[in-house]
Amino acid sequence: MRVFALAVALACAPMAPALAQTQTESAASRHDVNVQRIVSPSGIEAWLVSDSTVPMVVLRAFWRGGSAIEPVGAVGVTGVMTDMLTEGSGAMNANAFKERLQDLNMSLSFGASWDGVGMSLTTLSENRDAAFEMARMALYEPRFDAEPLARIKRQMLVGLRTRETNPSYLANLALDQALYAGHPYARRTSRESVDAINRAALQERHTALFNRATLQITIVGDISSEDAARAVDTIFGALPAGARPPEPADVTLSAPTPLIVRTLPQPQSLVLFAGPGIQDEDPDWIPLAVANYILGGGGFSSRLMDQVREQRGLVYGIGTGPSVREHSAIIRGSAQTENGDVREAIEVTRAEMARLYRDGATQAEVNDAITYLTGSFALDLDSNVKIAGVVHGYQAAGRDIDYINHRNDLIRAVTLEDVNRVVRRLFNPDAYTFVVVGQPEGLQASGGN
Amino acid sequence: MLGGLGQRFFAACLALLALTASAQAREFVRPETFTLRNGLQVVVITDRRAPVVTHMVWYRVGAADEPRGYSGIAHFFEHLMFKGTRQIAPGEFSRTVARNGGEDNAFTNWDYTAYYERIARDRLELVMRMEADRMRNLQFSDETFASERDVIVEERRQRVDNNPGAVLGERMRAMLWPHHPYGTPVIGWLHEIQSLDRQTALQFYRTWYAPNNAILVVAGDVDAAELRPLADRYYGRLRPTRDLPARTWVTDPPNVGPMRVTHSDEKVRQPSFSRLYRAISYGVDTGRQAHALDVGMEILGGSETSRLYRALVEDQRIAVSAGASASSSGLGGGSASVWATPAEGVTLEQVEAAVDAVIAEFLRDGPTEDELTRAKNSLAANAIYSRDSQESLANIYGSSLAQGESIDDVVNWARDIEAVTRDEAVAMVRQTLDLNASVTGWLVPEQAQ
Repeated sequence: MRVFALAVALACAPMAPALAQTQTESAASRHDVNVQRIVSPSGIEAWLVSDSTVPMVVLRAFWRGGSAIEPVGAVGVTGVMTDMLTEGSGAMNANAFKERLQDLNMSLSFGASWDGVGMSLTTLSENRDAAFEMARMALYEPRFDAEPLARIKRQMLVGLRTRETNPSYLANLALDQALYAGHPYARRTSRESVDAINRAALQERHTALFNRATLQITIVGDISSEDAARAVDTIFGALPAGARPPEPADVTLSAPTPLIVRTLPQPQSLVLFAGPGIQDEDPDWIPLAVANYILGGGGFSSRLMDQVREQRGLVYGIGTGPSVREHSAIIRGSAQTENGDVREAIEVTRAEMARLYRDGATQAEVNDAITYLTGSFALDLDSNVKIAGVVHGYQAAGRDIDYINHRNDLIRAVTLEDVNRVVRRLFNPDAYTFVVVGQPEGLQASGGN
Repeated sequence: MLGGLGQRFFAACLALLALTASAQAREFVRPETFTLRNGLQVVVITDRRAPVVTHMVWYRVGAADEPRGYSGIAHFFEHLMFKGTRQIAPGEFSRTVARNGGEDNAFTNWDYTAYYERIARDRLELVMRMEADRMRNLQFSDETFASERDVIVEERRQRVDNNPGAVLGERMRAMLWPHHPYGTPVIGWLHEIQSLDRQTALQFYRTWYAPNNAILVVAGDVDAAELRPLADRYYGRLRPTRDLPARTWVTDPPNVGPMRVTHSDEKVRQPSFSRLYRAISYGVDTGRQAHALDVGMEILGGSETSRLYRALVEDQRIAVSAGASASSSGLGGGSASVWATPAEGVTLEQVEAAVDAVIAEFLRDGPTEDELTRAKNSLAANAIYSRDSQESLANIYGSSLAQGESIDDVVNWARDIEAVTRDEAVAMVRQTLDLNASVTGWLVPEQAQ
């Protein structure tokens, strides 16, 4: 139950309860995290949070350049390349490598997104030198052996077939194709593109992406700044200077399609909706966090949860949030409901957005959003793994090193005018594309199918 | 699906205690514990890294305790408990937690129902006051009950009915436990959810939601000396349920042979094979049998270095995934499972035969010393890392105590895993993987039937 954030029931509350206390600043909203900038002997910068409470170290690294810049004939190669980095290195074949990771009680993984590739390492501090050596080998001495490559391709082919009836895949594909027509963000792997992946293509991506030009590193846990600086050189010191990889064009979002329907035989439909968003360097980014909490981002406290779930019992969950890629930004929402109720759920969603767009938020809603967003932030910072995720995210977004300790001040400074400006800018329901996957009743699609 | 969630959750739970690496990593902090006069057991796990706490109440009641014909009523409370008391308006519970920068939620298993808040440490008293209030003073209207029932129906559609694999899983459990309530889905059968009534719910609540049937677990920036006066003040005054019913469940009849079920759905593109067996659980075990089963199943199919994965996916290349695991949680027993997904052009008969051959070989030859050591190491590795998260710690203690284990059982878990011998592991796998106590499930595309 807890994996789904919207699991608990809750109705709208008209009266002030006796037990509930008025919000004030909580101690946790002033909790600082000490992020240091360290520089390795060979000149590579990293961000470090040193804390020895738990004898473990978490390391995250990120490089620009991901699936969106794959050669046209090689869609999917970046993800395969990163998967293959833990399928054998140096003298160790895939099995030997994985056994060694288990023997060291460490985890090491690489992955690709649209806009970059990343590495994630977790180790006990007492094994950390051996763990860093494994990361170094994975990075520089991948074997790209034929057998694991063939296995991964077999697994991908099965994945291609199962996604044909996966509502989430189908809805996201329809949305990406509607919004990003002609852009790499609308591309997907295919049988042909999987077949085309070979060792040479993996090596080409490896050489093109892994260099110092865009490398960003975050280290959190039981390690001193001196040891962390040495670790950076152990793992990353031999990377070539390289150059920032080519970038795809920024997206110009297509005009909204009010309704796209994809038919899939199931009792409940999945609804996705999206409209234009903003990049995280936009001055309205922080006010957007507050506005989104009010519309659909606040779990049980949002207007959409109240109207669609609590007042009408139409859905188990509904939520919205900004979704940012390097070259596009949207606001995105989702819900699931019985086929017979889809029309009503969409109508209520649009009506609630329209009401907010027309009348704006209230000062009380803004106050509640601010106390939640500032107070809950510490809940994201109570473990090494969580701190590494948050700090590395800020690093990748180009924030300054102490942003984590200023973020709550920025949220506290948001005014009702800021929120209503963002609402007028971003929550016009007429700018939104809705996608439905299922067997919805009484819906007239305006696009797709 | 709720049930599956409970099982995976326990795997993480067990993970807590370290056995590998050094004494330092193995060292585990024993929580402080005390019991209030009204029978409420309190467990305190101190972690001072961030000024936040995780506050959980675990009720020793779950889906297995439901009256016949009322499946889903235990899970219903996950929703109803947020509907208010005389002092808290409907919905105000979560709204108050959010206004104070906290998060709250709930989850249900066959053996327990748990409620939690994560919040700044200076708000601990607030959530204790509200959580204690709803332990005995819940109230909700017929309208609220009916609207929430619609939400739960949508929850069921989203988790189960939309997903052919989840539908098959439900059928397999119902066959494996034809009489015992573990065969009933936690979320309930659709037709029974739709006929649940408020009076039955209230009776269920009054019987089971009581301090002498609950465990309070608080983890984070607090210790027992600080917590005890608060626990006395808010929970200590609650009246216990007199004559709390014993949780005695029916026993299944002996198995008479292998059972099979084939589920087809037009959404299935990729066939798959899985098999469930009845098994020992930590709640039932009085020795080291559950530990031995965990180790044996880990060797057989717990990772990409396991017997099943290597044989089917890497060597024979007839499957794209294959594995095995023990779900050894459970107050009244557990289960074990094996599964495989065939590669293109391979039949389910072929992968099932190959799985059986790997099991037979394992039972004949047993594991190597390396395999035994690595399996114990892997089980314990997750354990070490759980120490990074106050939520994991609270979950491990709460679920283990609610499922019939003691704090000592949890503390000694790693030592007991380490003590498992090769013969014990093989013997438990042999005893458990008995086809005569199994249900085999095939998920197939519709045209195949």
